[in-house]
Amino acid sequence: MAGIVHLAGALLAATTTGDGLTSVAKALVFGLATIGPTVGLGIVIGKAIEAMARQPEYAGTVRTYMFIGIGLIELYALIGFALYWIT
Amino acid sequence: MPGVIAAFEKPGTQDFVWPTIFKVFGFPVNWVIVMAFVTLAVVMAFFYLGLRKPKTVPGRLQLLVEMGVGFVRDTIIMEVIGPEGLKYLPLLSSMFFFFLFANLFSPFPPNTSIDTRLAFPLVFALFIWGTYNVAGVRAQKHHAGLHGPFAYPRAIGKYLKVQCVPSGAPVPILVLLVPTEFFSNIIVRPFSLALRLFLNMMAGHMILALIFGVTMLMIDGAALLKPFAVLPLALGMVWILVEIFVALLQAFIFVILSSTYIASAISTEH
Repeated sequence: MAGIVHLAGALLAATTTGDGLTSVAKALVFGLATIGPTVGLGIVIGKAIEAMARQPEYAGTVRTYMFIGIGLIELYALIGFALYWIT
Repeated sequence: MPGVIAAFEKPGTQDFVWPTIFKVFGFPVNWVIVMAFVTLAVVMAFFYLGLRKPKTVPGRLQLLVEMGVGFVRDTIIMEVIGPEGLKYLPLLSSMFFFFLFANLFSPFPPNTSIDTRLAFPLVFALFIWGTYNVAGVRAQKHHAGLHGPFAYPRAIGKYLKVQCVPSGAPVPILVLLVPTEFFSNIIVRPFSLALRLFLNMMAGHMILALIFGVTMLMIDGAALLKPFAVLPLALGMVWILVEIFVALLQAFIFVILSSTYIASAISTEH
């Protein structure tokens, strides 16, 4: 119990000073930026696998377009990563 | 040893800044510039040694070169652009191999990828930007059969119309849509292309530095902690494999997105 109180106190101290708030904000920026692209990648890859299973003869084409989609989506997660260093 | 722990530095953007080694005609040369020339030399040696004496039954190196070029031709150009894109095969395949070797220098020694500096991918991306815009304008000129002194301005107008004005949209929507399309199709593309490669390589490099830094920290740490240094070491080895995969994937994605842009530029109807 004392440990939890201590931890809460440390968290409070970290979040009420300027530096601590910046760290929390930086961590949140990257964490939040990954949510959308991860869901998007899941949808793209899942749908591509579905399409490949239905039409194995088009697997090559589907794979090519899947990678185009991955490339377009993953940029948004990476921009979050860049903002972590810029801010 | 508290001294060692105090010396541990978080991996960050400062790891990618190198001091000037010497100057050539006033231009500072640092380790990244040296690595650019090393990468160039490796790519040129790869192609020269692979295709010096081409045989009908290829040797190992020739097989690698042929597989790579054949991969770019069949999987990327023929799938995305079609047969008319074959004239971009030299550009795209050399770019693929250059980025492949440049990226592989991140997990392999000397662990300095030139793609971890934004300038290098950005120059390549701007070159691709020029290529697809010029190709698009020329395709429009050829398609409309334009001649005379105003052929190129008119072709540029047609090209911009195809790129920025979606057909079938009502006029009030176009007010919003045309600036958006212009911004995303003409302005943002080279930067997104460069940033994707740059940030991928930089992030991977930082994660490697972090994992091996933690390994060093645990080896130097308390006696109870030392045996467990094996865990981050194993994770680092797995992560090197991930980095090799990312190096391949990013070279592939750079080239495939370039060919997508070329394909959308030279298609004459929207």
